[in-house]
Amino acid sequence: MLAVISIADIFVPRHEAHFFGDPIRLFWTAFGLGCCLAMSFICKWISKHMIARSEDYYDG
Amino acid sequence: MTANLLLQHPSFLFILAAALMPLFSRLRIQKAVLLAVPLIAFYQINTLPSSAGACQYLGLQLSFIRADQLTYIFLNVFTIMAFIGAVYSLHVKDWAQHTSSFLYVAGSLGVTLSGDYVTLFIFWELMALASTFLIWLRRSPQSQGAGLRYLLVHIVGGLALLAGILLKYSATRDLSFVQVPVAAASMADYFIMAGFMLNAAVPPLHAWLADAYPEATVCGAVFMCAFTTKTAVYVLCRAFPGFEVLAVMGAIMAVYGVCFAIIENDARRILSYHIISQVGYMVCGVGIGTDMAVNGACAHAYAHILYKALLFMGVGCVLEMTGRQKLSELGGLWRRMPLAMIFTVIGGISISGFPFTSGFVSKSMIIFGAGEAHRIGLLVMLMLASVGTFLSVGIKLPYFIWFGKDSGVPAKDAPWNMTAGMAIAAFFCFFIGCYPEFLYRMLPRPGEYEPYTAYHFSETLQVLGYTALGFYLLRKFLTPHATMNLDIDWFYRKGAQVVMRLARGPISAVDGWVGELYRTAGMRSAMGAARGFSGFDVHVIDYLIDGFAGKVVIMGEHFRNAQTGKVQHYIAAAVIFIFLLLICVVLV
Repeated sequence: MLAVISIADIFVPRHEAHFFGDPIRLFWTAFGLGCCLAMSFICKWISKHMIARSEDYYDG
Repeated sequence: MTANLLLQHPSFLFILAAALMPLFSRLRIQKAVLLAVPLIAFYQINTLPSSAGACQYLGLQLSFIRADQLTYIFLNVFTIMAFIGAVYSLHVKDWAQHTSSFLYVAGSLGVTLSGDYVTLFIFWELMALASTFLIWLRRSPQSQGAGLRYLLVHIVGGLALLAGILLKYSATRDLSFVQVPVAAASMADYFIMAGFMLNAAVPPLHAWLADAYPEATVCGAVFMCAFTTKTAVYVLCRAFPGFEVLAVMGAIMAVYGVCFAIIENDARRILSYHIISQVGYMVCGVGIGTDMAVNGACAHAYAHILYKALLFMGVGCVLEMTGRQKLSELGGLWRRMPLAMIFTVIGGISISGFPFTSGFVSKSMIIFGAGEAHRIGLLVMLMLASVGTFLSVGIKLPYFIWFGKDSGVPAKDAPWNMTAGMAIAAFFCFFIGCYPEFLYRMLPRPGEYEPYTAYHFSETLQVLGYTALGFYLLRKFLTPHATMNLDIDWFYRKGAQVVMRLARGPISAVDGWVGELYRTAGMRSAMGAARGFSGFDVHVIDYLIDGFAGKVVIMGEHFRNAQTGKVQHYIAAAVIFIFLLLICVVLV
């Protein structure tokens, strides 16, 4: 199904481009997957190494 | 005029019902009232005059009702939401919760209708106070603390607003609540904007939201997620469209909120961070300030209230039935709570902006507006937030509550009224998605927008589809753990703890030391001094007074004896007295 979505994008007519990504075929495929992975790793890393605390952190 | 105002203004209806709620509860007509009041209010807002309730008070021009296209769209969704919230909370017997939520709605409607800053401020504070009770009424130790922090933060925000209002009054003598031109913004306007931004949860003034909402009552959170932040969006929309700071901060908060939502474990806290993120879209739209973007902000506020309430209702059902709201303690509930699952997933796909749901037709307006205004940085940030939204609320939240590892928690579907509340909200999510004209007709600015284009379809499906793939690949990695994450509230929560520790440690020690000093040195000398004073009193003062009194008695005796009762003696004495007086006058 994902493949169908992506292949369909190649044939979809575009509106007037608002920015550099609009004319590129499959731009949003790459954006969706790339951002999802990047955000997950970055946020999890920040959480694990910087801001995660035990649940009773404020109780002490 | 006053009677007319009371009849026309929907807030007064809610306030009256809130005040009489204990009586309604006693008379067993609470449920009927809960349903009737929002319906009457819905009728009222459709018959409002464009302005009414103007009066002079203490030399200030007050205006209780100012209705136009911009107020209408917010009033419309606020009253619909009040009705959905009332249906959802029908089973709650505690009248105090209903009183608080009605006062809260009254505050929100009052702010939306007010045409001047004084009226706005009064309703603004009513909202803050009433919503605090929605947290406290959960009656858990955590909610007591969270409610107090919430109240204190909102008092600070209210003071910023008040400072702005006072500065504005002293500068212009005009407190009408109208749009501020960007070029003419003064210090006063920025104070007012800061007060508004605190309620809109713009970072770094946002931590109260994720701190307080997860601790509110099940039904209280459903009300709270709809009103405080969206009222703030309305006032920003009214006064500050086109302010660059809002555009940038809005985009930042859209991304900030989802980043926290991805790593959060508490289901209602995930939703709270998503309020921050979604309100970010609206604040950004207001900041961009074009017709398309402002319309998008209003449309998104409308759609957001309904699907966010739906999400809070779904998770609220889980909390109500299982007593748990942490993802790490839940899982595999789909067999036991199928209805709550279906409705929460509808909320999840709406917030993510799936085609044929409300998010698809509203969120894209803001993104389209950003594109039209050639704000590429904002556009990319908002799309990034869309990815994070679907990742955490569209997939992660339902997956770890209803699927994933079965936690074995006993549960069953919620009471009928909670399900009915969810059903109404879910209906609106699809209705707006399939028939966007309903929403677009209410928008305040001119302009046309067509959400159902092939490119928009393709763009949305790619982004959402591949985000789902990303989640599938990382589902082990994204499993939430039983931890919490620090946020800006660390500064005041730890700060308060430091102050308390100082109070318990050094300050208490100094206090004890002073007390000890007083007991040893101070007390002894004080006792000595007291004895001295007592002696002085007895021996000197009493002696003087007693002596003086004695002398008066003796003199009186002499005087009495001196009286002879003969007229010529009196005349002679008077003549001598006048003579002496004359001598005195002449000599002086």
